[in-house]
Amino acid sequence: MVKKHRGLAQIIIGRAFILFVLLLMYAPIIVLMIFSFTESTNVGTWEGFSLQLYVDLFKNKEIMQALFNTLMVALTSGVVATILGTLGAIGTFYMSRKGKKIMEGMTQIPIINAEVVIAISLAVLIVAVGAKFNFLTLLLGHVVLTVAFVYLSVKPKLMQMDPSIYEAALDLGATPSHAMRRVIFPEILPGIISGFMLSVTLSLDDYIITAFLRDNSFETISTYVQGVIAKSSIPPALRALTTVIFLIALLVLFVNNWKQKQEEKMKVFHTKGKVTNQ
Amino acid sequence: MKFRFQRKYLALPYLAFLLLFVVLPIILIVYYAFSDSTGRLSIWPLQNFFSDTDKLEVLVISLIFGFINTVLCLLIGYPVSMLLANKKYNKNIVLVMLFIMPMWINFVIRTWATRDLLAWMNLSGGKYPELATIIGLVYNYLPFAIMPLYTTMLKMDKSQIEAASDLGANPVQVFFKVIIPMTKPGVLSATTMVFMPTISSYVIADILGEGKVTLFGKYIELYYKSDWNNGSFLALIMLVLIGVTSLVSRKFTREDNTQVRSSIW
Amino acid sequence: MKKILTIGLLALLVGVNALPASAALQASAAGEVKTLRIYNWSDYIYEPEEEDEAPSIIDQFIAKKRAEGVTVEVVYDTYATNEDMYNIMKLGKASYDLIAPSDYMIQKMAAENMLEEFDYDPLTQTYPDIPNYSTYASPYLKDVYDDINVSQYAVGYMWGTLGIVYNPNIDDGLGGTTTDDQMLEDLKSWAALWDPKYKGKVSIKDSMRDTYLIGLIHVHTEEIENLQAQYAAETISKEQFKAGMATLLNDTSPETIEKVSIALKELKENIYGLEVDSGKNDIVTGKIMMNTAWSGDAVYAMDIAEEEEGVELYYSIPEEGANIWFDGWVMPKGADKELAAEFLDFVSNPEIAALNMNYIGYTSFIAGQDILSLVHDWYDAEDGGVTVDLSYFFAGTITEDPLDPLTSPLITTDLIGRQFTAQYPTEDEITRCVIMQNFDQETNNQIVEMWADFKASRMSTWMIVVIVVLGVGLGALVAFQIVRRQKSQRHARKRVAHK
Repeated sequence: MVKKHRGLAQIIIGRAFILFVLLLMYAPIIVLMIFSFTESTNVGTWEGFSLQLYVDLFKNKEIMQALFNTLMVALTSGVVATILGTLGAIGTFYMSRKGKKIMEGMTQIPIINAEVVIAISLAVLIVAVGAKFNFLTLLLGHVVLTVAFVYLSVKPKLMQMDPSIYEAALDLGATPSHAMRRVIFPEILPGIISGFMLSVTLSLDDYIITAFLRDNSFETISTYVQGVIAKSSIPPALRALTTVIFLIALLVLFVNNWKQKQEEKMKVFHTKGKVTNQ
Repeated sequence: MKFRFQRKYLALPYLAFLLLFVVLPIILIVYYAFSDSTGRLSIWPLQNFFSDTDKLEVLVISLIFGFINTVLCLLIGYPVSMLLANKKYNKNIVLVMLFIMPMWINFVIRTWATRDLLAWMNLSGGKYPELATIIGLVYNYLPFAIMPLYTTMLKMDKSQIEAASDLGANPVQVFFKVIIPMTKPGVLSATTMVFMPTISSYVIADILGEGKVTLFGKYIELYYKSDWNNGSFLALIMLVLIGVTSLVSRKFTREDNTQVRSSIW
Repeated sequence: MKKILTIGLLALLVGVNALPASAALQASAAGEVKTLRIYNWSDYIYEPEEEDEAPSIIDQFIAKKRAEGVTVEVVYDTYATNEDMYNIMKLGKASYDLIAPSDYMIQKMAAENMLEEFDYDPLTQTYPDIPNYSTYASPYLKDVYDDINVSQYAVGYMWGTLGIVYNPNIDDGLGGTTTDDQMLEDLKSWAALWDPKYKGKVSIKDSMRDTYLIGLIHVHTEEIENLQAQYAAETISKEQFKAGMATLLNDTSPETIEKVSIALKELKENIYGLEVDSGKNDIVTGKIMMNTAWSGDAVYAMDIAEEEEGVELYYSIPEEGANIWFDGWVMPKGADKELAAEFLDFVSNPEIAALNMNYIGYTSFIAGQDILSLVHDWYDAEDGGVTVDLSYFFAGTITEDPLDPLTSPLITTDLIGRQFTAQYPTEDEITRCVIMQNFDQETNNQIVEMWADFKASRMSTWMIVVIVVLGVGLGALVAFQIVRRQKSQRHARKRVAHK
């Protein structure tokens, strides 16, 4: 009897702790969201409920442009990084031990390197060859930043894969490229997807590399905020943006969760009779 | 002899990319670090770095901030991850994602919001620049610590824990002798993900410390605006430092881990 | 399926990227398309905030050119500091037709051959291609520009001072506020920033040149007072006074740099923090009580504080002197000189300049009747007030009867020491202000070193504690490992022995 009570108390304390930390983490965001419903210039003064900021947000050409730019860079660099990183991971997987070591060593560099150093070293390179700074240089910077992470997302999937299925496919008559596409690729797909997501996430939030490598007219949300922090602690319209992003993220989360629940139901359905340990 | 396409050639684009845009820029930095403003080789930046105690002081301080941030993130992140990974307390992944979601909202916006919040709580950077900076750093990097810890704890072999308590170990012993060693790769991963970016970041410190907390990354940026040689040398120092830290942490893993540390988590 | 999605996404991305290029192609096919590339400070040109306001100056210019049959595209980028802009230009990261740097930066860029020259007649101080500026720019300011020899490179845009904006309001104990007379008195001197009475309530600029200047004033206070006494006693002329001040406040001798370094480190102990932009909001939200500010930012803060918080902020140009600065339009090498001149002529039209001033809060180079009317509009006091003579600024450009109080250069206002001082300081106040001069590379590097030193974080006691704890902890860990290894070795040996 006592054990059960202690168990319950533990659960409550545990849950409370998680919620407490979560609350602390969301405090600034919640403040922003609350004050996105009022028009005052500064956070802290409440000027009555109003949705004006949301209207301003969508009418604000600069913010919308910066938002668009941010997404563009993130998605494009994500695609490029994913392609490069995936191919790199697959290729390296089939290298000699020495080759592997070299590749892994080089891969570690952008991960552990300070963003400032990456940004500056690339800027130095670009100036040295006399190129101009434009969207391509920015893209380059983001790919350098994220490609290694894609590599490291795909690699464990390769290692978890049963190496003999490739040989088996060849034995069964598949051409190497067929085997690659139809057998290996699906096995590592979860790694590719998580690598892509990681790359996009890192890109979206980036400030330093963007600041150093962009064409001067090209603003992302990070550079826009840092540049415009003049008008207010946070440009009022951005408070509305925070709420919008949060709601979208929440939506994605719940959709994903719901999908997973559906899949799980299907799994149980398909393995009727077998006891699955979830 | 016909050219046989080997699978390893798939890595060629990646290799070329790394060589051109990762290795080459670093070589350039090394060149600038050891030359003077006219382009000739010189050890002036080297001398400058060691003769001017400021730079060393800022470096040490950055390391300290990195250390404290890592410790705090681990102290908070570890129990949170344990609770999240334990079915008793958390049945689905939504809660975990909630911890990671703040990362979707641009950190510049979040940091300025934190500044206002701290000021309202009377903990502003004006009065306590270092404290404000640390709070901001922990706030920003906590998800980075939780992710690898959570993933590792999910994969924990629960049967070992049960076995240990069955064999008569009390909860404290179970924790220290079984759980902690099993989560070592996660802890190491979390440490890497937090420590290294912290010592090189500076934007958060700049905003929350009201310009009074200058970390090494800011120094690099400051020098780069006018003096490429000194700036490059500082960047090189940072690179070496990070490289050393990474090697040391790798040695740790190899010593007592049979698992190949094959993923970032 | 996923493959198709990926390819589709890629195609979409490429397509979207190509769109602006194709749009430009179409435009150039339609008629003559010119591009005007402008690089300016952020928040430094009029843009409408509400739907019903006049279109932005850029849009108005584009419309004007369209009426003339020329299609103009304007690329408008912004920067936060002179140094940032300089680095971008030096690295060749972008090309522009017009940039608006500050005085010392104009000198630097001119010295380094980075600028095109305007068609300028020094005898009449006119620019044949920019008639509006030649007619309406304040002759007084044009003279000052000539002093630093940049007239052929730069056309004035905005000007102002660097002073202190502060909040002297304290509780009067009856639920309201009153002004703290002591503070009004204190703020007549830069020393207020160092005053421990205001510890933690002061913000200074995170800008090397501006903060260096404040340090110089602090270090040279005695010499300045001597000079001022001499000037007041008329033992030296105005020119000699100004020359003396200019030398003192552009002093870069190693001894002085050292003294400034010490003074600034003292100051650092007293401040809330360093900022670039957040200061003008921090003083409104009450985080700080005084902030070294450029006059336009001060006007902004004063307006917002009054509108949103009902608080009256003040602006002081301290008695020791301050900095007077100018931002002027320059054309970098390779600029489209014709188009640039047309834009400058448009912007120098008094009506447009008035619109600009109204929005930005800074003071325009442009004088003329329209601007004078605007000043009357803003500042004429309903009753009482102090009379200030602005003929030093407007002489030579006013057309209406100077004796008519509605159009004369005499303004009677009660906003002295507040917005009015920020926008139109008195002639005396200007006399004791100094223009920043360009420092050469050597000198600049020394100041950069001093600045890096100043900005550096310092070890504090708790950090040393952390290091000690860490050291002890590591030492213990290592010792522990060694002991453990010896123990297991001993065990292994025992086991072997038993066998």
